[in-house]
Amino acid sequence: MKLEAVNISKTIKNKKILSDVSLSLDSGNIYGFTGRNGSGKTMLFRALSGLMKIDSGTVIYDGKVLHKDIEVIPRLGIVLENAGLYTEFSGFKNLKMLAKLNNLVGDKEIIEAIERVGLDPYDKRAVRKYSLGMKQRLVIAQAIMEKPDVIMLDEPTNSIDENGVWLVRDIINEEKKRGALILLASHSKEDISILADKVFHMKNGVIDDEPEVG
Amino acid sequence: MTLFDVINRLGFNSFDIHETAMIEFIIYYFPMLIFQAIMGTYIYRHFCSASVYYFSRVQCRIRWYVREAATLFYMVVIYLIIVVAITAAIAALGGGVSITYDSVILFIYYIIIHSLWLYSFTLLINVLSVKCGSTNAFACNLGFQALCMLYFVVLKNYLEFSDVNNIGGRVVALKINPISHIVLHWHSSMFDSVNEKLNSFAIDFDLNESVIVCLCIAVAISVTSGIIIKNQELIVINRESGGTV
Repeated sequence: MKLEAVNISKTIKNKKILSDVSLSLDSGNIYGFTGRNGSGKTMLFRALSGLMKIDSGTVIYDGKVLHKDIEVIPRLGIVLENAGLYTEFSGFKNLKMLAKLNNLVGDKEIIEAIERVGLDPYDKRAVRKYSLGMKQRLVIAQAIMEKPDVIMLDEPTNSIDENGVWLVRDIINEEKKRGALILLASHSKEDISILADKVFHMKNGVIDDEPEVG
Repeated sequence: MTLFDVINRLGFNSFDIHETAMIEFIIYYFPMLIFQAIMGTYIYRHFCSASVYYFSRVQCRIRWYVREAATLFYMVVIYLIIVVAITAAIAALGGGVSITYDSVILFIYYIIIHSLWLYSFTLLINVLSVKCGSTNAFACNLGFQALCMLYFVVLKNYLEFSDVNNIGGRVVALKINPISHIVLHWHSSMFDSVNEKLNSFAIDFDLNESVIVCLCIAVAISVTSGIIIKNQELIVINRESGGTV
């Protein structure tokens, strides 16, 4: 599977948030994205996933043009900064609601995903009672539960304790071995240096220079 | 008491063009407002905090929307049937309710007209919420429905609605207000037995006409909502808590 972006641009409220971004990404690799807050990493993930339309340029996934042949990347697992879950439901029920949309996985896989991120799948508490770290783990669980072909992770280790960080890194590596194409945006230089095969640095909505090989 | 009387009451038969009757109208309108308050976030809730995780799994948003809108309509119909059943059951406690031929006809018209009306405005709250948040959407929707009701006060004060010779003006004045279409006892009917018990203004205001008007409103709101939902970009997350980009 190949994910390509060709000269994609996006302006919101007269501010150019992505400017002529071009990328070519292949399955079985981890691509790191670095850059300061507001450099466009999250918006790039939104554009590449199909959750946000672009003003110009093209995103092609597996030969299919986004917003023409497909609306969103099929079999996508995504974690975005600040995006939460249904706070009134338990962790299991949250994932069950999301899984029901495509019926790709059942209860067994959902339980496995929750256990994989170090949470208790039988915890009946509503997600609003979870700590920040637990919420983040649950969000990672929803991203990996359906064994997606493409995984976009925006600051996945935010709010997670040290043991949890290593757990998340292991999960990312396991998903890479499974053959997933992984995009990882992080402020943690350690995360990027340990995990990424190639690194893109973003600045003011553009990719600053040629990818660094990790 | 017949089922006809029960439905006619739910169809605002006690409502007339004067201020005090407005209060009664609002009381009978209350079940509709409750439904709108509860189901006004039925579609919108997916555009809140979990929106990116939800819609990253939706491969065809229009197909998803059609399914959600159809479910909403189905729930509206069930709700109205329950409202009729409960009201009829309460009436039955006081001496029985008989089901007549004209009751069945009025029941069918009631369900069609009121369900289309309730579905349209509940869907409108949902889609306006996607654009401007649930508080604003509910206020706008409620404001519009209140304006429709207030129109009758204006009608009474300035158009001399009580003038029995002014039938033409009365018909136009009524039909121009969308909310008139849900007041069943102002309507005429092609069924004589129904017509005899309705048509309190003795005007040509056919129930079928209101079915068509409500259907047009429902289709217009459904299509517009579909376009808005399909094109809604998931940039602002969690509008309910201030909107995080």
